[in-house]
Amino acid sequence: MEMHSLWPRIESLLAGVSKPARYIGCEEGAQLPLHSPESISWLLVYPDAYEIGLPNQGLQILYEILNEHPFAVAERAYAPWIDMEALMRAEGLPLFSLENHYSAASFDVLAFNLSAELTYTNVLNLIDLSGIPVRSGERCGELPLVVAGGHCAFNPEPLADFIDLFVLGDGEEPVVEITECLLYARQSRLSRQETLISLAGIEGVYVPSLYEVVYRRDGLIESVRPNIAGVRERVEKRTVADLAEWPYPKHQLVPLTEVVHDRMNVEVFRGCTRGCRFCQAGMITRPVRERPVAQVRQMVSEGLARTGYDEVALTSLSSADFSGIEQSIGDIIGDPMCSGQVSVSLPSLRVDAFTVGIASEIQKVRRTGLTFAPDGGTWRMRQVINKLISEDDLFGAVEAAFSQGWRRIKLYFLIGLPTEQDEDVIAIAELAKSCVEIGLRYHRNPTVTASVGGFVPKPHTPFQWFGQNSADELRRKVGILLGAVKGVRQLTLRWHDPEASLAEGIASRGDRRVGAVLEHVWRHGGTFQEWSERFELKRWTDAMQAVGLSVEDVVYRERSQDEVLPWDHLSSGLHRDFLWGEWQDALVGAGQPDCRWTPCYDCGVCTGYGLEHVVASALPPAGGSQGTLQVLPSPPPTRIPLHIAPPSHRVLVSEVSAKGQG
Amino acid sequence: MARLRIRFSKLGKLRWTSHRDIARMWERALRRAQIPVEYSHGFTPRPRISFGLALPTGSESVAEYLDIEIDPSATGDAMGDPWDLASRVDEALPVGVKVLAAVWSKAGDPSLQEAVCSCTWKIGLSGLEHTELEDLLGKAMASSHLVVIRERKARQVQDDIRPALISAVGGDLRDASRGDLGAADATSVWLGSSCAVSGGDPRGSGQPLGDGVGSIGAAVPKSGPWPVTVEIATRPRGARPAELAQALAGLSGGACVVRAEWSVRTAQWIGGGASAREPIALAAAPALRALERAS
Ligand code: SF4
Repeated sequence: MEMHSLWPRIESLLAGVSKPARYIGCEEGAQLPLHSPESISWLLVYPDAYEIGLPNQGLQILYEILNEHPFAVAERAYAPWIDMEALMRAEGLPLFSLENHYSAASFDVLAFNLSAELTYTNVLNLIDLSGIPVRSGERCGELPLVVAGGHCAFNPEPLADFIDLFVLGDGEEPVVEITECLLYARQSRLSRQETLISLAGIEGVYVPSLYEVVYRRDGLIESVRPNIAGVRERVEKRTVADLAEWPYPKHQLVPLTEVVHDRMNVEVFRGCTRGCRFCQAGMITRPVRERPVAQVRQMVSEGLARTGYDEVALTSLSSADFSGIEQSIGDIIGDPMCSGQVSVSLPSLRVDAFTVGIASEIQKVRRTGLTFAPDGGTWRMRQVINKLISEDDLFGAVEAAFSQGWRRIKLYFLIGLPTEQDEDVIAIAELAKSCVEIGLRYHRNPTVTASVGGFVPKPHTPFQWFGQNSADELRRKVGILLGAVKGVRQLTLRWHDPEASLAEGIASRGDRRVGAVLEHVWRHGGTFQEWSERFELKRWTDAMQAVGLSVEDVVYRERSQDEVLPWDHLSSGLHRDFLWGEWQDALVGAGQPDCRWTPCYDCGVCTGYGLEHVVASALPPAGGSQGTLQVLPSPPPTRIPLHIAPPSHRVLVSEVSAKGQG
Repeated sequence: MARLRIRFSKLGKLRWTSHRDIARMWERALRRAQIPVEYSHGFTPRPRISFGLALPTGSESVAEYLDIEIDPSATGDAMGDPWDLASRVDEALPVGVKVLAAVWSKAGDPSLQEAVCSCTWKIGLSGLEHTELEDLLGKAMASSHLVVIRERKARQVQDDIRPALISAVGGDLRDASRGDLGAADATSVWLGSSCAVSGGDPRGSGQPLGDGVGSIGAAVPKSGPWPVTVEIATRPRGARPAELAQALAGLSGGACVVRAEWSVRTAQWIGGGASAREPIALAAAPALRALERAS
């Protein structure tokens, strides 16, 4: 398709929309790729507003990798906000890229990042706004290939009718392989169907139209099988074995306008084996792959110099577990380039005093608030979810925080967990009140916020069989909490809308039949469902009814061991037996240690994929075995405040690859 | 105290960023260029920089200013050529924001916010014929009130912008069909827009030049946009280009839907009348040299 810039037409709309800078591109680090008939052009799309999507690191990584490839070019697009979309549709303007302002349909590949299930209706809307049929079966010939990846791709079935192919797991390698396959397909003049079949040969690629779902008479799934010969029965996820080989993004985008997480980000490790049973991110990203400390240092200092940011986040699922954490922080603080004006943030704090020590080292000035996630209110509940934080751990952390100058503490909890009793819910309020008392010992007006989310049991976790709490039940539990926190002025309760948890349950737990629900919600104006002001449960329940599905069946029903789950033909590497065993252990409150620091219990990932943990230390970091049931030899216990020794005294941990099967 | 005063432009796609966005861009650029900016003390140290008047989102400018407090311990008594620092930060700024000139401010100089009392704008107005525009501009200057509806704290209020309107005249029609210019070209076009820059058509559009409607040719539609040059006071309250358009539409009695298609701030003024001067005039020797280097 011919490519020309839509900019003049786009610009004529900008005076009439909110935040017009969302549509101009021009970010520092943005590329202006030159398209050629010989290259494969990718449009990487984040299906939410610019300010939410721009910071997404996954998208930025693939953007760079593709633009480095001699035969690929990549541009970006985000969901235009509703005011802009209305003007675009009125003017007949399609979705466009931000770099060259080309129309989305003129690209070879439209690739969506799936980070949150409630963005699915935006995916449909953006395909439609591109002028492409939303259903993959109606696409033909030259139309772009519609691709999706990201965490939610581990249950892609609700989007199976709309997406040509999904990528499971780390995308760094598959995007290059897909590019090369498409070059081959173009040369060999393969038809769209032939191209899809050959793409399905790439490890980690799932082409849903090549699989047939057979349902039983009772509505459950009988089987999901390839409908042509030669297509693999089961698709395994892709995993980057060593993060050191992927120092991306090298040129993090610096937006010209306000976005969330507006700071420099450096991923210090990928994967997490703490084994929290509710956590999908932890389960699907095993094993742990740390970035060498020297590379972290280089990425931070080059990144800061290039971007001009004054804040850097060391990102991962649990950054205090990074074995190079102390050294990395010391390096950043000691870097003359930072000259005391750069702050470091750890987006995920562990609940212990050691971690607070780190936090106090890096937040010398801006001690505004700290967040901890005990997740469960009672020890029993935390045993069920395998997040073994004792009250002493929590109170120690909170005391350390208040005594070191923080005045605001945020505690994050889940309600609607398996085996939960009302007393577990009430205990959330009790824990929060105890934290207020600790705070009052140090400050006249401390604040504690208890933030409560409704638990959505996610695919590929031990809780995938669990029936989600109904919206009514979650609402009742929020009511209990509201009663229990009454009268404590310093305590604020915040809760996630139980109705949004229900919709999230539909989108994340459903099978292929839920696709019609998504389409119905979208066709009835349900876009930007992540935004509370745009969310309305009625759209979802109406759609379920129209399609003939029951919320009970899709979301609330507990599933049995032998039931074929909609995502069973897709693998995150975890043995089904391991997940089931964990589910049974959860019900009796039995824990599971972290396999980084104890012998491997063969969850299936390393053994199945020939991988191993890449960690610099086979010992947990100070305070590190906390929450894992383990009594392990560990570095000297918690030191508060944490003093970072000058380099000459620091014990330099050599970067070795410690095998999980220690 | 060492205060660096910088004049800069904001042109091209970046005109869709806000005043706050521009402030953030400068903060980052100053850090990237490792300019020894003084920081405030206290819990959240901020770089000590201050901007003049906010530029409305969507407008362009060749007359934006900011003051930067430079850490005296880094510069010492010999403050040196201001351009040395300014050119460093210029390289760190995104395309579309460009340093045009820089001077050291004198101690005790009032801040930009205090000092600037009016601005000159060039605005492209569409939705009416050229004769109607001339007529409405005359009426606007002759009237005692120009009422517009403004949004203030999510409420609609009526305001009179007539006190802010110092002068309004039809501009050089060569500006009428403003082409898409590179940032560097646009700077010289707007700075020299009442006279031809380096001979011929500054925009290189190849259209005939002239002052009368008849000589513009078919490229400009009968409904504009027509360039006007206005001077707008900053106190007690200024007026935006879109508000001027709204006021003219009101004067036409609803006969015209007047739109500000484009707007460029070309100057800010300290003091009024004959003594008016720009915070940094680009005609001054050091500044002109600056411009040469900048483009
Ligand atoms: S295979 Fe073993 S070492 Fe690897 S993540 Fe699973 S339990 Fe841990």
